[in-house]
Amino acid sequence: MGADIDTARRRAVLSRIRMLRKQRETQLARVVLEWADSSWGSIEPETPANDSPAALLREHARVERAYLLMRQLDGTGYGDALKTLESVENSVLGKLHNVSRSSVRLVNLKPAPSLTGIRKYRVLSSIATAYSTCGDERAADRVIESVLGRPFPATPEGADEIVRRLGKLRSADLFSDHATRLTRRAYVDLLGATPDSFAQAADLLARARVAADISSGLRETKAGVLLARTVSARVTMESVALEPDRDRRVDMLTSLVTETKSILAESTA
Amino acid sequence: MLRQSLHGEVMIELARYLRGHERPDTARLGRVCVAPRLTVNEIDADYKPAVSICYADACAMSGEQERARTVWERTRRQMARARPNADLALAALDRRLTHGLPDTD
Repeated sequence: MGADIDTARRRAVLSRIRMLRKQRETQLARVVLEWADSSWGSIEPETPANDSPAALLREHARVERAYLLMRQLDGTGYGDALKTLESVENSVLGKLHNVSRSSVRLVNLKPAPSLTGIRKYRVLSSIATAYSTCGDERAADRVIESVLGRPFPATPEGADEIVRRLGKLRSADLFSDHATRLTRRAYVDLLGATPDSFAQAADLLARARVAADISSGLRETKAGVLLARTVSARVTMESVALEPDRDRRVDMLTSLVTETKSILAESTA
Repeated sequence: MLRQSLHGEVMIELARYLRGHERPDTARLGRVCVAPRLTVNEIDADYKPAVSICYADACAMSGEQERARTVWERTRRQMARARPNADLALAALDRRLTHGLPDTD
């Protein structure tokens, strides 16, 4: 009972830190984290039982630490953030960290995964988003594939099995995040402005469109639908650069201005 | 703020393809929507370079070349420090710093 209350209190503080971080109140989020660390020794519970709420809290807290690390102004936090994320990924998947040739005999001591089932998927999809924010898209893809057990579906039909496994809301978030990541990568390719980078961007945006459409079909609440429309608008905005006809580009963007104005009005209503 | 920024980004994108006085007017409106996000993002390194570049492009389209140059330079410095693997984006910024905004005609 005492342990449950302790976990609940830590979870409440972690929610506060996450909310501050999402509102871009980075300094305040750091202050709250430091306060939690000084109160409990560390916000992460020590040696929680595998697959327990405390283990879930520990992994989420470490992901949050990674986010705050990557926001250091001098840019030195990215390497540490990536190391932290890699360590959380290994812990969740039960992988040994940096196994060298001489320590191969330790394979029998391979640690058990700290989380299983839906808890594992929840943390892994957070890790994928954090990797992407950190700029390591390859790692984000690797983690997503370990959640799905296969590459991301290229057609909406391929999503049914994922929705069955993860549930509607979690799947919708996963597809939204994926669409956003692919769009961000496409943006960089479009900046490159070479034939190769345009071809690469076209491929990424086609996949982003599929992911955004799947996510849109899974949203039920008003906030969820607005989020889906926002993601979809961003995919459309980047796709305009691939349209060869200038007048058509202007038409697409004019409609998009109306759409984003409507999204803005509805989200502030 | 993110949605307001998206609205501004779309307007700036539209301004690239407009001609005459419509171009600076639309770019200026887009800048107004994007600016709050950029200001907030300056307090941490996890900023979206896309927004900074977009804002600077809007400055260039609305005739404020000096401001555009300052923001391109600052974004380039931040990207080179925080995201050294973003070669394509860094090259695009270098092109802007050398030749100005790419022509969409």
